[in-house]
Amino acid sequence: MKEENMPKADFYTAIVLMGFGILVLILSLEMPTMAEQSKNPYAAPGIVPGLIGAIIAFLSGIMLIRAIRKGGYKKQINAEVVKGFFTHESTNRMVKTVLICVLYSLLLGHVNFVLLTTLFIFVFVLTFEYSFRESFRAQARKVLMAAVLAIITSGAVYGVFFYLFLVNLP
Amino acid sequence: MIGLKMLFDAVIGIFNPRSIFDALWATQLGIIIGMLPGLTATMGVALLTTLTFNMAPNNAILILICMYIGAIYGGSRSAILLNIPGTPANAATTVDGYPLALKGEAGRAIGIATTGSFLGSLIGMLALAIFTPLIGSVALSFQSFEFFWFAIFGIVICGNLTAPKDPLKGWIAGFLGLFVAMIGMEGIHAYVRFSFGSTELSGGISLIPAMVGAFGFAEIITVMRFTKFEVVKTKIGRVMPKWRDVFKYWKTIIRSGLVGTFIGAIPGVGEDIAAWVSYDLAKRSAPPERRETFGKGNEEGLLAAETGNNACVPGAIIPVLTLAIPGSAPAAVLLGAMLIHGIRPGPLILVEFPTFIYEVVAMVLLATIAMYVLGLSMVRSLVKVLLIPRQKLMPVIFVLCVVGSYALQARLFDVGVMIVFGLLGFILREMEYPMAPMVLGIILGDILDKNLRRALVLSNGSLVPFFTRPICLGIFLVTLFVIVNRTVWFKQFVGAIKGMFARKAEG
Repeated sequence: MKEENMPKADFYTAIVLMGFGILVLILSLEMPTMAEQSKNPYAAPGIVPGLIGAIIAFLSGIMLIRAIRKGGYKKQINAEVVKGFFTHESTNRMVKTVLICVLYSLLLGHVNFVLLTTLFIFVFVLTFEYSFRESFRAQARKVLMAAVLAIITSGAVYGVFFYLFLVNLP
Repeated sequence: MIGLKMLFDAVIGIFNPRSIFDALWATQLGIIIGMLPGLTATMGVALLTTLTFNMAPNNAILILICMYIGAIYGGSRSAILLNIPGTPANAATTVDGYPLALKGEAGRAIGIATTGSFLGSLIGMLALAIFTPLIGSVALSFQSFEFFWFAIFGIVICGNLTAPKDPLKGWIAGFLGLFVAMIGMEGIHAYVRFSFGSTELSGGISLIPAMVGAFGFAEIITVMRFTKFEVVKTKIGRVMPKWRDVFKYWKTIIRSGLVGTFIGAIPGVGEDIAAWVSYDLAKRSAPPERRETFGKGNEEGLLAAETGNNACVPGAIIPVLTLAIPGSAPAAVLLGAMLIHGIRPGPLILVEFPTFIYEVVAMVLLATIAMYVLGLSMVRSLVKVLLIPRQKLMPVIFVLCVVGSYALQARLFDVGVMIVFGLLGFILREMEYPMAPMVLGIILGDILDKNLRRALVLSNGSLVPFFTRPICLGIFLVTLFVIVNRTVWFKQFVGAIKGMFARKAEG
């Protein structure tokens, strides 16, 4: 993140974290003290999380004050900045990576592991290597290599974990 | 004498064919993981933990230590050849390592880095052998009050040093980690906290999936954002260093080794800080005419950085064994792995597993020797690993992250934990929140929780013993100083005093 945008980011993060800290504190105060079960109230389960929540809220409060002093609340995020972020190549690569990885994780347990892993690696490699501007024939080698890598990796991972480490893969 | 005998037995015992074989492959794998930018020592140790949990405890811990030492050293290769540190620990190595490679002395730079890492690791190992039993016997007298302060001190110092720009973010990350540790069933009354009716959450957040996410998935996203790296086009000549070249800097080697070990022993403060501090001290203590050459391919700077970061590894294991508090992020995973294998580090280790400390020392020795042998051989062929395109490597790593997170408890929930912590880790890093305090918080959460409540029960709710017991008072004052030291008022106060003395001197 660019240095000039940090006060703005800190301003919003501090508000979220402060709210989070206060919420943790409230939930901790609502926890039973166990005194009704004749247990020592000083060992109540809410003491430590309550303390942690209060400290998070306090530290976020300091960060909020600092962000306000640096003008974090004033800075505007204009359409150009947002557009620049979303059209930047690194953002594009990041979003693709996250989407493919998260989709793979969500499908685990619903699709056969070897098949899913083969597909995941194949799609991942080609997403970053295959260009729709070039002909398929010119990129046939890339596709073949991606398929070989995908099959070998999924087979090897399955073999090692299932047969060697006796893990029932999802 | 008993200690020496146990150390001797452990060293003799470790040099068997099986252990040597394990040490060689694990160290080599560590070097490769360390070499590849984006794959860190923490990620390597975390992934290997999931692969070794069926093994005998000593074999598993040996493999993890070899991975740890190999990865911290391996990062120097990409630092020298790519100007990109393979792991954060090798950032200081780039400053003088890369200029040496540009001068056509890549082989010499690799040789110096390897020797520095070897000697640093040996110095750290000696400190591990000497100080662990000593600290362990002192720690036997610690009570809940002291452990509470140790947990707070760990978070504060780790946040302070890993977020030099803004310690506030380091402390917030640490307390967020402590909160994560509060999720699930607590250890005194078995009351389930923050689970919101979820049976999965009531079991708590496991450390390994969280760390694989924060250091693995987050790294994958970071690495995939950028386009490819350029390997420096230079011929790698003679790698074997001339001993005379290295030992003329014996003062730097000893200083960096000791500093690295000491920094390693501070909770949560890792190899990157050790390398930078060692480098900085080497630069400051050099004569003015040689100081100019630092950053332009000075071999002493390279030696200091690599000695410091590898000395930090055994240093980071000292608090793991004696207090069950990790000295660095990879050491945190090592601590988790020890617990998985039924070894309970902490003050009672001297009573329950008295030989284990010396076995760990022997493991570090074997790993260090393996690192030196492998580090000076197959250099040219291993450099080709750096040419593997990231889009081919990262999906394979991600599959290992997923399977590794799942394999420990066969729960898909842990894969979700890994994903959430990966995304969270990535966002927090973008916002300049360090990950190390958060991980330390997850580990220290349980220690803090149990010990604060136990201490309050013991003192019947009084806070006085927290500040009147000698060790408590000492840790409290140091913690307070670490916090106050970073405030504007303190800096203004110090500035005013300095000004007053300067005026008096002038007058």
